[in-house]
Amino acid sequence: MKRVLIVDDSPIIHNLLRKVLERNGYEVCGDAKNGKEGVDLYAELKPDLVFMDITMPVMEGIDAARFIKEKDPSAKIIMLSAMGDDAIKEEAHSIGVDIFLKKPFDDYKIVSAIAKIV
Amino acid sequence: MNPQLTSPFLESAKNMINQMASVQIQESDSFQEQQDDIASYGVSALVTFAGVLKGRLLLDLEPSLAKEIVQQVMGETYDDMKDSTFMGMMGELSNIIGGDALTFLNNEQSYNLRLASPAVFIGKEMIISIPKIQSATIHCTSRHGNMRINVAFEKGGVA
Repeated sequence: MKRVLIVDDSPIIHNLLRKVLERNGYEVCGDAKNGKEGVDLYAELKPDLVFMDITMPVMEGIDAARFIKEKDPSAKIIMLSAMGDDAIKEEAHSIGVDIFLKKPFDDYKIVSAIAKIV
Repeated sequence: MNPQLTSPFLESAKNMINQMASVQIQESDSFQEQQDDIASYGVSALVTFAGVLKGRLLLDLEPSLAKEIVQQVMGETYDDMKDSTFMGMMGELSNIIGGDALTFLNNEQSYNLRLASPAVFIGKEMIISIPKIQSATIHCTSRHGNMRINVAFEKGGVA
């Protein structure tokens, strides 16, 4: 079973995304509420995949994704954000984010994205 | 206020609420300049943004509409609007609507706008005081209750 780390400051997103992942056969191995926690939990848990929000306190998702990719270039990261303009997508891809998804999401959007990279 | 700035928020509200909760929202007028304070319908969510411009989005909903949206998204009924899940869902709704509208504005006008974290307020007829910046409100209806969308912009500043 593939293990997933969720990094988002919204407990609602953790709740909704966990339901989607678990009913589609994935294990949520960690929940981080900001980018710093996400970086730390990634190093500790070594998940197969990370879902990363952008706007978060302490450390934003773009910076967290950059840290994770620098330490582990093989890390699989899906950015999941309310924002999705061309500039921010370009920045995410430039640091190696694998897929950029815009909220809201449903099972199909999440499962299709995972299937492309894992 | 320039319709190019306000109309994306209406379109995003209609599209996102429909996508997330299958609730149809219909505007009952056009955006009108808001000069007076607002007496809340009962559930308000506020999110600010900044970039080349700065501003805020205020969603104000009747409790019946807010409860329907939360129930549809979460798959559970929430009678207590002070429940953290209920309030969190309303914050996420404003985040997603605001994010969608800013995505459009950034792609069309290169405003480089970025969202801050949302805030949610519960309380019928709570007075929402409008600071003296340019602000416009549109009223919307649905089968489950009314809502208003208030958008404010002022020049300049990074969050």
